[in-house]
Amino acid sequence: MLFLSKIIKMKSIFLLFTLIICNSSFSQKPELITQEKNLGVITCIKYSSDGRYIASGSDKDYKVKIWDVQSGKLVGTLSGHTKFINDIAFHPNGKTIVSASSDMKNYVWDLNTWSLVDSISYSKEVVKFNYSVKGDRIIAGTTGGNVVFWNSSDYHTVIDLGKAGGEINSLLVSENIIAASSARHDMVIWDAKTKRKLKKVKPIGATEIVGITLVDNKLIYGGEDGKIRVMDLATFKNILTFKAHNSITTIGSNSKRKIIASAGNDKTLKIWSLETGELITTFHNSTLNSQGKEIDEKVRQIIFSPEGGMLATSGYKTSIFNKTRSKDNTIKLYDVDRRKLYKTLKGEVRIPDAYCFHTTENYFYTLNDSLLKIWDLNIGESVGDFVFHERKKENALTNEDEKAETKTVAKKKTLSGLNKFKDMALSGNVPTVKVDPNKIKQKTAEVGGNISKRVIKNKNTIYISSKGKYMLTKFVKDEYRLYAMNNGVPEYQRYLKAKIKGGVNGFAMSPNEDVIVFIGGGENGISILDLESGSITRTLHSGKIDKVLYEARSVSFSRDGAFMAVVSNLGVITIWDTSNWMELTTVDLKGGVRKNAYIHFGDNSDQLFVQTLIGVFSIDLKTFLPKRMGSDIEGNPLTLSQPSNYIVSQDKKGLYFYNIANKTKSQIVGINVKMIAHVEMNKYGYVGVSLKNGELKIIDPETGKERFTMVTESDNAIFKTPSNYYKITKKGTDLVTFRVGKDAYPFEQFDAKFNRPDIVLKAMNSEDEGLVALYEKAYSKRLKKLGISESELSGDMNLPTISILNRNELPVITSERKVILKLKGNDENNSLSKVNIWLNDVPVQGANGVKISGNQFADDIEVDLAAGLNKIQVSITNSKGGESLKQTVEIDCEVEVKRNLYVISVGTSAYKDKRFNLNYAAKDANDLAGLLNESNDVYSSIYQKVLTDQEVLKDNFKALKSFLKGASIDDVVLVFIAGHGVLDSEYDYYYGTHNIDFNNPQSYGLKYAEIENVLDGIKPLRKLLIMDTCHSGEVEKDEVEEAETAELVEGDIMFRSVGNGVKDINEDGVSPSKMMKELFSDLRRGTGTTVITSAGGTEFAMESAEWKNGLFTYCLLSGLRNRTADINKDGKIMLSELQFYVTDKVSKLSHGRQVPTSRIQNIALDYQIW
Amino acid sequence: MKNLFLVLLVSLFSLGGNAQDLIKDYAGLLLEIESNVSHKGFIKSWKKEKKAWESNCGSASTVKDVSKLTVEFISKVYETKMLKAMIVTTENLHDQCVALSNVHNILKDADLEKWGGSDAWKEKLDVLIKKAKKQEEQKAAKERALHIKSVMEGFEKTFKTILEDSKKGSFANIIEESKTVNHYGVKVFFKNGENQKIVVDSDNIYEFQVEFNTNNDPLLAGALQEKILQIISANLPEGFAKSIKYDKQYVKNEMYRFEFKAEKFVLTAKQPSVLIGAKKDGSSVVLKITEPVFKR
Repeated sequence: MLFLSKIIKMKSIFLLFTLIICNSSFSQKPELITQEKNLGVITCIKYSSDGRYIASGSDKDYKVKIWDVQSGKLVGTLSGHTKFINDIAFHPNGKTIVSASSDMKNYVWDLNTWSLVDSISYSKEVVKFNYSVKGDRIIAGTTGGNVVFWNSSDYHTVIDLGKAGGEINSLLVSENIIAASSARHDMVIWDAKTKRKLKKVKPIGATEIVGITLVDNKLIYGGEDGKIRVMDLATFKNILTFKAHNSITTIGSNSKRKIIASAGNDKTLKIWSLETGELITTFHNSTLNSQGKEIDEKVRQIIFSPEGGMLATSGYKTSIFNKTRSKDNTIKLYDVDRRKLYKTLKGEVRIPDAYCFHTTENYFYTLNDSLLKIWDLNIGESVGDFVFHERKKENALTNEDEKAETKTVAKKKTLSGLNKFKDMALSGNVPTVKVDPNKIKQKTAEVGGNISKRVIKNKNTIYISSKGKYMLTKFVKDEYRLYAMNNGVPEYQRYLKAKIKGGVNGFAMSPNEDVIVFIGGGENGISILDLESGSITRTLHSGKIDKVLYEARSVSFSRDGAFMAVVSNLGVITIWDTSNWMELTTVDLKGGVRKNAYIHFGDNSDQLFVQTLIGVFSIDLKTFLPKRMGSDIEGNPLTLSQPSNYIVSQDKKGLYFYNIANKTKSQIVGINVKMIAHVEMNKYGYVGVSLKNGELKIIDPETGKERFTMVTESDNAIFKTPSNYYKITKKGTDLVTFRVGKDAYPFEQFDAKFNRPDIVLKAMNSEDEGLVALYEKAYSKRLKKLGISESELSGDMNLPTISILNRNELPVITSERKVILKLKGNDENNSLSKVNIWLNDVPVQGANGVKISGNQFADDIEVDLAAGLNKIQVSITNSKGGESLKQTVEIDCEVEVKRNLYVISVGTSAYKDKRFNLNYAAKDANDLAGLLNESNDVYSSIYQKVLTDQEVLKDNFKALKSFLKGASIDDVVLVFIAGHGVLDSEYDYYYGTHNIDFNNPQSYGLKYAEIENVLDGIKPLRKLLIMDTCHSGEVEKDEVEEAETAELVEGDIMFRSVGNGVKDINEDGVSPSKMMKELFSDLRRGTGTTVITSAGGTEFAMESAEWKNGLFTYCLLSGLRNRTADINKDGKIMLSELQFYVTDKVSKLSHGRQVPTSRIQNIALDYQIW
Repeated sequence: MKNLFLVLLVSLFSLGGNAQDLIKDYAGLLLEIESNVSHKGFIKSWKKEKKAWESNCGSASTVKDVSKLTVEFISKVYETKMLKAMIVTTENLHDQCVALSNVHNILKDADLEKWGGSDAWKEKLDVLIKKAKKQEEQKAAKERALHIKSVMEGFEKTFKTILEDSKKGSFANIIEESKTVNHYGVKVFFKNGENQKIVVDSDNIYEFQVEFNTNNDPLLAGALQEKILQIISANLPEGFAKSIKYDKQYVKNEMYRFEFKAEKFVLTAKQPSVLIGAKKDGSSVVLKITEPVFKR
């Protein structure tokens, strides 16, 4: 077993330190960035001069967003504008960006610190922005038609070039000229150096110039008449005119490729040769939305990448009032050479239509269309789905519908490993610490009571009653539905008919959940329904003046249910005694009240707070006297579904929390209030704020500080704390990226430090302390496995740095099969020891990298490209084991290849020591080889080497490496071994060769490292090792103890093990290492091989006449032969499908005694096996 | 009479579901303390009576019931005069709970030493005391609200009538012939008003006076005064303003006077004035409407 730890240490020693990049030797700390959707029309997009980033602005979220082109991920947002972004411009050095907004503010942002560093004041609104080529000036076009500029060393002295008609719609800045056009006016050209006006171009008829661009000395402009005109700037004469569309919306060009792109009202995007005016290609600007419906829109913006190989666009539609809108809201990247859509930048998140907290459980519900997702915040997982049935015409669901709805409920996922662990934890098999009730009660005691809600029209909404007994839904064009909550899952009860003329303005459920009160106008404007029967038990009205009835605008119950208060449109509050529904008093605040006004009882039911148009009043419930609250409450109080000790209010500046009891205030900073979609209160009294970009932030109103943020996408979710710690579903890594300075890094570089479910669950108030403790152990286990100590993660360490000098010249897409990386690295304090290069997580120069020395490193390294996406990562390691941050480039190699399959199949049934002969191991090897030799469309050729019985010797096996030398980068290599697996006294694994000495396996047995070594340093990236032996999974030495000598035969079943066995210390099998595998991606890369083993480290692999094979091989063969391993039935058996299939099948057939596992997994590659 | 009816009504309703729960809680605590006090402390007959007493605890539904059961329990333990003196029958649950707390305090340590849950019991009782207090407060708040509601019923109409009549000189329409010493009876009354009369002072100025009983509840007096002030403000013609008149009988030593504000006294004197104040002891709110000083 010692060897295993050595291997782990050796393999890990460099990659482990990869994970230590979070050390503070970097000037900036990594920041976890979650993705956001674009909101509204994308008003502007710009490429950075190195082509690595695209900046965008929109008319809804008022943020400047920066996207990493390679990964397609959002790497940062710049918030500060209060109206929509008109334009943006990168400084040529890429360090700063300027933005102009219709809020009349122009900001300068530092992209290294992501902060506002300056502002440019100007009396007119800037609508177009550009830097000069050298970056020494910022040129702007304004709504007034002026073109002005500032020196970028002094943003405060403005120079006016003059007017170009009305509002500038196009601005061109080159080294020599500045040109601007405006709607239905002249296009003016200035000399960029002398600022002299060179030319005025009159519009042709009523034609508006909609875009200006420049290639060499040719000015290209597009007109509303659909024509593109090319003007020679030497003579100012048009040398080429051609019709591109019926009407042009925008144009763009690239000097290096001498091409023009135009977009028209016909929703097409066309690329033209500048020299000939010939059409090169046409794209139709359309995409499929989530419902599979095609959205086609006009193109608003066109920008070419600096090299011209890529084209970025954004779309829009025009409404009848000439307003622009968009349903797409994405940035599309087109590959110019391959003439196809390459990528869409959209932010992979799903924004819920509605959400609510459970009032008594730590659950959270999100609603998208009719799908209700149930999230258990104790475990940070989605635990079930519920599909609401569509409304019937008769406005009632039949019994059948109810059944149908019930069937759609996917209660707790029993297959989920996490829940399995949780169940075990709950059943007492692992130490489950009882929750200290005081910790929870401290908070829960402050909430509870009625729910009262305003009705938000045209929006689906869901509510849960105060004791969690009911869920109430209100879908657009539907009536109120009541659901009973059963173990957190809704069960349809009935429609609730309020019978209020003119519609319902709001409702409130009584704290003891016996009645619901709907309010509106008219004689029966207050309708009280019994929740059990759904019938109206009483109607009231909120008073009248001169025979005109007041209209009830908001309603609330006191927390103890003793009082109900309704506020009317004229500001008259009526309070009823709910024990007999006797009207107790009316209080006239003499201030009008709008719909959805805030009305809430305070703690202890001794105060009532009401919002009117003349301010917020508190009413003392001992005397029923009102008092104006004045400046205590800032902005508008928000109606929350649960009462709270806090009044949450919002104005243009922020979100405020007013503590009713001690009259203190706090404010949350860093949230753009215009982005707030919905505010709720959870059972602990924390405030949930959902933002329009898909984030949900949970805030402690006492401090105004965030506790955690949640972002979801289907079943995947990320929960993160302000300190960057996160909990993520294993497949949810698309939601995450890290940023250091302005550069984006994939999640795995920081995962070891920040993937801390234990910390996040605490922030989420998980009541499952046993699970939290297990997570903490799993985290420690993972660090141990990676060879990192916690102090290393947090301590100072001088790390070397490496950069790819020719990054900007590397293609994003290519058909070349090689690239050359110009690398430069250094370490000021230590000598360098090796450089590491991975391609799709496979070390292309072997697991040990390439040795180097000295403090400096510079070399050009050629890297072969595989067909498809190539994620190339480089790092450099110093003599103390410190590894640099990995630099990553992604290159799409667009070539058609037909792969070859290389198979090495090894099986030993006959041993020199005949006492331990097996029946089926050699047959396993032969059977698999035979199956894989059958013709198959997946592979061009299949090459095989089979070793069985007497041939299975250590040297023969090692010699197989030469067989794999002929394989190419795109080929697939599969190594299969079957036979005895033996552990020595140190619990280290050996494969039983024919001549193994079972008493001393070290002498002739094959070490695990020797097996994997056959796959190290070979060209193919797709490498799979399958082992059908006992103990083939990893043995966690600190989690096992020696077991009694195992019986080799048990009835018909024979075990592929010899000597003493091992058993888990954790008798129920719930170990931190298993939890670790459930939770975390395996960041060890080793040789880049995925290793599937037939049994866990402590388990025995079986064979039997029943299966005529080893059990694992039997399942493997049947999965491939019968294609039952093609789980999604798409005709392809992917590696991931095969893994899942054999694990599930073997576990079932062995009744859990043998569970296949992965020793190590290449998380970057999933590919078709068969 | 009407007030009394309302109070009764409120009492009945407020002893609904919530109150019943509190009484059950109290009975539970009583049973718990009884079962944990050392039996050595009980008189011999208790053994026989205990079963019936426990059964009565289970069916207790009013404060009076549990109060009686508490006295019964105390009288069987120790039989000390001190304990008996502390427990008197009450209909106020909060007072009853405080009394039970005192019982616990007075019991001998030796008799409680085997009871591990004594502190937990006390905590439960403290929670009950808070709840009972809250219930009492709510009951009082509801009484106040209904009291004010009953006073304010028709108040505005009556006020307008009397104010109008004051302008006509000596309350010509509403005054009654019969004069007693220095005041007359009235034909128009405020509902629920007391001591309503027209007083004539030494200068022969007529003043309508009324008192609204506020049950010695200063909070009620303050709230009622506020309500009446709103009506007065809304019904006085333009030009009237509120000022403060010093009077130590009233809350904050202040009454509120409404009179016509003019530069010349003669204009002020030709208009009636209104005075209102809430008595410091909470006994009543006093309203006075005075005819113009220059009546003719």
